Amino acid sequence: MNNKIRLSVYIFFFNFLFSQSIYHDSIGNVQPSTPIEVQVFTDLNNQPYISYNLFYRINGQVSFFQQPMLEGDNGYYFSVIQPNHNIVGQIDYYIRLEMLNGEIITFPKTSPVEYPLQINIIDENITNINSIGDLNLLQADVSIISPLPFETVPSEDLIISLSYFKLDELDVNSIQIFIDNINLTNRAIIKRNHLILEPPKLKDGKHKIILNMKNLSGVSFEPIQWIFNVVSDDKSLTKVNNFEYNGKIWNDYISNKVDSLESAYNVFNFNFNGKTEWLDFSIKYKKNSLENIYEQPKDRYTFKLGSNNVKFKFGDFYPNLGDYSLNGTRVRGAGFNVNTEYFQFNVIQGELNRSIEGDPLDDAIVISDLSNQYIDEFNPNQSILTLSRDNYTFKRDITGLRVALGSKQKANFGLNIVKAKDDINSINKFVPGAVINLKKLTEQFNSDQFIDFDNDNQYTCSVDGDDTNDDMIYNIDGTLSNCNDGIDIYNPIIFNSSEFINYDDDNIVEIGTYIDDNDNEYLIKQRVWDIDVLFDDLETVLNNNVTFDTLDIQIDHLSEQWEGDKPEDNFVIGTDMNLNFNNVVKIKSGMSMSLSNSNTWNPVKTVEDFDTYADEYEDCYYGRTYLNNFSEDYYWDECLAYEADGTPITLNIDESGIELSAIPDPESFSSIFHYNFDSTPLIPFYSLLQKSQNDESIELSDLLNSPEVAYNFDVVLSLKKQKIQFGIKKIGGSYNSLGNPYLQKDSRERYFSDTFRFFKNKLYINLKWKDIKNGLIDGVSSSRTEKYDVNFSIYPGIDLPSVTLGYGIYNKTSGTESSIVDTTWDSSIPDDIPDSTFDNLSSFDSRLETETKNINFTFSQNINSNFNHALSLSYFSSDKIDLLFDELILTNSEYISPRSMSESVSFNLKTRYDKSWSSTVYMTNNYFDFAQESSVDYFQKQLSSMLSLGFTYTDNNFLDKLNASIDYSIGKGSTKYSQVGIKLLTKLDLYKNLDMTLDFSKRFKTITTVIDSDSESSKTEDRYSNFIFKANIAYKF
Amino acid sequence: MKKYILYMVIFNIFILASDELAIVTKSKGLVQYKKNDSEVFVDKIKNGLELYNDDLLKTGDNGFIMFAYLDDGSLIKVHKDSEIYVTGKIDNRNINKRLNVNGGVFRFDVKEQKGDEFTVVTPSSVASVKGTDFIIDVSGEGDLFYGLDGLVEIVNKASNQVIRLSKNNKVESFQSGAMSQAEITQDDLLIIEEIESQSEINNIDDNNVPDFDNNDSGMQDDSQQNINEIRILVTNPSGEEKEIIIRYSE
Repeated sequence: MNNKIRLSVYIFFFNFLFSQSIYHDSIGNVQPSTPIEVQVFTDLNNQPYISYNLFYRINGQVSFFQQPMLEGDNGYYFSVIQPNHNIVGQIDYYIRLEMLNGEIITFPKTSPVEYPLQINIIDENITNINSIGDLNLLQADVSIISPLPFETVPSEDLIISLSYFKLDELDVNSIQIFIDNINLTNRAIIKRNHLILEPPKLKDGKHKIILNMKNLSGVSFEPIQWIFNVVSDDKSLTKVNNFEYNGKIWNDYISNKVDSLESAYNVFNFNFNGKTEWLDFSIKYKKNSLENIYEQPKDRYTFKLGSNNVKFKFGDFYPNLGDYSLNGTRVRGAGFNVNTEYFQFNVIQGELNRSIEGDPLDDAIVISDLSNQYIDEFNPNQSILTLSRDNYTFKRDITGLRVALGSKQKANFGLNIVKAKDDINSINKFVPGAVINLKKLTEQFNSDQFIDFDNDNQYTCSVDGDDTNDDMIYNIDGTLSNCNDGIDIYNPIIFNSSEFINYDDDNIVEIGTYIDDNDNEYLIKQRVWDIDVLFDDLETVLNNNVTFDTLDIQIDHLSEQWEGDKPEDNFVIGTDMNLNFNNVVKIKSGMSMSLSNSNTWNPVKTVEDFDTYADEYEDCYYGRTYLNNFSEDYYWDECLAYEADGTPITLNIDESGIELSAIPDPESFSSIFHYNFDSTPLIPFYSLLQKSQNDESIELSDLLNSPEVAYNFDVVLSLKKQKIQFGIKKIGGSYNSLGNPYLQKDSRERYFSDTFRFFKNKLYINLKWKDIKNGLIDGVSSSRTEKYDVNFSIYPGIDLPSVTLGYGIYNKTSGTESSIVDTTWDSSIPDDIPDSTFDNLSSFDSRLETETKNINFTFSQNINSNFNHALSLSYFSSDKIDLLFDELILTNSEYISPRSMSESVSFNLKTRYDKSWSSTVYMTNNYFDFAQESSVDYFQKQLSSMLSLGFTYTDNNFLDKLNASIDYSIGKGSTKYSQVGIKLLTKLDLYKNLDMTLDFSKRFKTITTVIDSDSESSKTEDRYSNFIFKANIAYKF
Repeated sequence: MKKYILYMVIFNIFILASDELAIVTKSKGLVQYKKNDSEVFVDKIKNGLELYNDDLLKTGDNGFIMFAYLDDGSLIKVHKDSEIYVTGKIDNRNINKRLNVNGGVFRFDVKEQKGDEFTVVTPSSVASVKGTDFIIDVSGEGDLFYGLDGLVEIVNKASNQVIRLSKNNKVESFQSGAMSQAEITQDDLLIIEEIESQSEINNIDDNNVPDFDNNDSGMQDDSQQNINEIRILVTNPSGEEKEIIIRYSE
């Protein structure tokens, strides 16, 4: 009643003032572990507000929790402090109302943060302990070891332990420990730094521990109190509510500028995980601002549903069905997974690539051909302009299955099948609005090529008998002529049309270079027509434009065999095996075989088609050849050869080939794989079939060495003081998996490593050997690398320095002594060596033989003086020696050695001054050179040094982290530069679970180029100002 | 002088510290323990077991053990098929901590370190942290780190490459020297959840747990009575004293 009267007075008073106010009766004392409702009468005077919050902090906290005031009845607002925050001591709180007009009203009215209201938590049932209100209490710096506050523990696992490791002058004899008000001090083992208490069996539910202690002077420490929960068995721990959830929303923004390139993008993410008693589910969504219809998707979405043993996935996911078939590649579709102790089943269906029609403005339709054809007697020379789609991507469907039996921990055997195929119907033949460049049609109207002596981008010639100031026509046979020879340049006109969206009649392009007798260079040029027209207007242009109308052109629009990527098909079948013998011996192995087709537009072949594919003989054999000298008019009938007069020919077999009946009928399995002459391999297991036909024994190695096979075999032995690992993995040259496209094909790797451990893992010695062969069929492109490494690492003790030392020798050989020069495919020849270099060489010695020696060393030590220092020094050197240099430089004076040398030394010192402040000093010096010094243009030498200074400030409140650093680096040698960089990073805890990180770095770089070292004026400086800015904001719930 | 330095080094390497560093707070399944000065493994481990410098813990295929450091409560969870040496040195009321890990799966909930950085040494990497929460899966090929909170600096021992592991990221560090970094995927979260399900430590659920009654001690009936104790001090011929404690309830 009194409250109501008081309220009425306040309301009257507030209305009189026409402003907003809040009224609140302080709460005073409460019982622990009960909800506390903070109720406030608020007169908003019909004015809108921005926020209305309760701020509170529990005992000893520095910062305040914040939660909204909720609207109740009759002008009352309320907010509830949860029971788990009402434990012991006191709760400070205040109320804050922010109006839209900027007015801020608090309760208490003045300095609410410094002088908040207080709620005293009074536990009337706990007696004989010091009250929190006792001002003489000492703060106790203890660590609760077990059970943690609010932890749920099974009763049989319960052990109570608390560490007072950091407390000075504690009188351990004064310690008293209570559980639920019962003094159990006598049961406790109280030690110098900690105590352990094995309590009697406790009932299920919440329990409270209280610990009292004094220092040697008899002054009490603040009592330690915490609550934990006991359940009777483990099963209770796994119980969940009807529905539990958590999730995260975050946004990343990145903007950067690197030299002249500037880019910015934004990524928004949303994750939600839900858990019910029976099923779990999760939703994941990512929206990338770079998403567009002309590229594969950058957005991601996933929905997962399932329980422990059964899972369903929809959207984007990354299945793993086998190391060589499908291993972590993104699939958009659906997946179903059964995972039990002795049986696993995984099936997926979806797409690896989505279909992309291509940009209509970027050659989505092109003229692939312009030819003359005989149509009929009325059109004996009909021009056919062939249009083709280009720059598209087919939708690539994928289906996969893995079935496995056995325990994943002990012995597991799996079979996997993956089928991927491009959907040829996913791309349209027509692209309305596509822009077509008429180059193929207009190139017949391009001008003659001419040498532009005066470089004025036009052909000029005066008939005066003097060529001095004239340009010359560059004829196809390399001869020159001009108007003084009575020859005019061919330079026809194409008349403009209103349908042309681009009409460039003055497009002069450079064709090449002409060098005269005095070694002067001039550009050869040509006027080239550049005309674009819309696909929809093409027919109109061909019919109406005066120039093209006379050509009588018909359009042929291709339905297949387009200019762009051809549709592919791929089928992979594999097995995998995992064995584990008591963790001492682990064996992992897998084998896969692939069939792939690079053009499914070509039809499936019949077995008979294979008869004459590899040879000309209709002998019902694939690839069989003969030593006979057949007459011109011999013939085949029923797989036998006859002379023209019908006499059977006795055949002398050279290569046996294989019988056609050994080849499965491609049409019979066309629904599984599209088999034709574009298939790889053309005949699967050809060598095995041949051996079988010749009654030769087939061994496992024949299967493993087949080019369409990939396999691995890995053994790990975990012994007492060492771990040995060895194995082999090979991927054949014809092995293809569209689900695993980045495999290093045509390679074999064998390896062995042994790691020894000594002195309780304080000293490790690791020996490694690896043999890698690329190009399994010997030839120019094959290479072999052998690597030997030995590493020591020593971590002797906390106060002693840690040292690592590594030494490695790598030998690489490749190439052959005499290779046919073909720089278009020989990867061993550097790209920047022009073909003309090899013109005078009948063969090219592509051999490479190098030995690389690597040394690395690190030293790190912690030094504790007034501050904590962490010091580390590291050194690395790599010396690659060209073992063939002396030999090859004799036969090829332009030989460029692959030798190189690099060295790096760095020093790092981290200093921690206190809980908040730390600094870093980092220095590094690097050297690198490549090729022999005499190769001048190719010899590179670079020296660079950097010094970086930075500091970090951390607190556990609003400013979680602040980091700033500045660095300066200089480079000398092939590239002379200097660079100053600054970096700022701040991480803010904006609110509970709401974090923001801002990361900015900027670099000012100057590159100095000296053209002539003798002339100061030939020095040019290019300045770059690059930056990268990242912002992240994240909220967890 | 040289001798002295040598002795110091050897003493530091093989020092058998007598101070407790950590306490086992949970153990289940097959867990083996070897004390620093012993060659014998003990199979039965009770909660509350004190761990000393260079003690070895090994878990079997169904084993799990959790221990906490005494100075700050930093919590280490050792999952199945794992092996770890507990090392540390007390310095000015702090424990400088280092864990030598040979293989297995571990979760480290490291409190803010006041002394040296908390270091985890694996056959392939060295991880240094000031205070963070992360998981390591150490296998024959290398280590897989999952960052759950804070920052971890990971150095690959073969290549000296350094990568900083941050929240929601994972880092792979291989024995070959290679390292890679990527964002934690949904599948990784499932793996982490599976790892965590071993420890079965849940926070209390206020709505799902019966409240304790202040008028009720909360103990089972057989433990509600007052517990009395008789202590008998015995001395052997060499002067060593031991106390026999007999506890009984009325």
